[in-house]
Amino acid sequence: MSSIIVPAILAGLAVAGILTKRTLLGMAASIQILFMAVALFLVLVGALSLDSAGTGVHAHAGGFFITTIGVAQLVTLFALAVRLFYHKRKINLSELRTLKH
Amino acid sequence: MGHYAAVPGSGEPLGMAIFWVCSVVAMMSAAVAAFSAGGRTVAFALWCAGLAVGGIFLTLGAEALAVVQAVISTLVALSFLFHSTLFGEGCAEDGLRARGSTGIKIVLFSCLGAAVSGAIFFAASGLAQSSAAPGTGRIFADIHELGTVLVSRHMMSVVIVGLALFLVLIGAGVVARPESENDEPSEEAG
Repeated sequence: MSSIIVPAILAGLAVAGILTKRTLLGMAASIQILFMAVALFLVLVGALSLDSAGTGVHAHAGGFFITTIGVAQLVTLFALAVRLFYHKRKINLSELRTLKH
Repeated sequence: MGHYAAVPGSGEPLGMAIFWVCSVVAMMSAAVAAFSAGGRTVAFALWCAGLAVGGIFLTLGAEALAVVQAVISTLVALSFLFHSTLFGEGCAEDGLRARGSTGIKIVLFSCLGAAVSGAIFFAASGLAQSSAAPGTGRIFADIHELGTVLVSRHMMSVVIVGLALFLVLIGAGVVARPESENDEPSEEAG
């Protein structure tokens, strides 16, 4: 059970990275680490819970879906970053308060 | 036909050693990616973390997912490197990290991340129960069984994920379209 600490630490590092980064790309990198942690957690739980019902293979499938959705959100963030850069010539989140005034 | 996986706690020393080495590499790379300032460093650290997680998947018997993770992490790192250079954030002095963020803020956010890690660990401690006899291998799903389960039990999820990917493809192409005459960059004061 001590192996569960690995995805837990990865998730904590990802959360700290999301809070620390100031640009969209930096947050995208941290979110990608979070997705890796979730997929690893699913596969690890499946591997540790092997029984006759085949929990492991379902957790394995869940890991596939999580990884795929992670790629999809990364593509979306890249597209948003490109669009923001076209308009503002920057992707610093602290300076993109277009609706504030 | 299943195969054996070196599940942590199953008693296979080589598999467990590889698992923990890959885990340490993944955690160190994730820490570098989370707190580093330069885009190139972050891209390289992200790539290392992805490969290390793929190595962990190998030790757990999820070979297909390990290959997928390795390919995806390489593509993600390359695209991240490209975009960070495109936006002028490849170097450390350009900074992906908040400029002016003091050490106190970083420590505070690190403590918050540690709290998240602790919450996940203690919440999940009773979730999985190992049923393997010590010293023996485990039977994990092979690619044939995984494909059968995906098609028979998770077909709707596969269709939804495919539809979501298609929508992301179309949406990303629309959002990131080249500039037109209506898309003049606004003049920023200061």
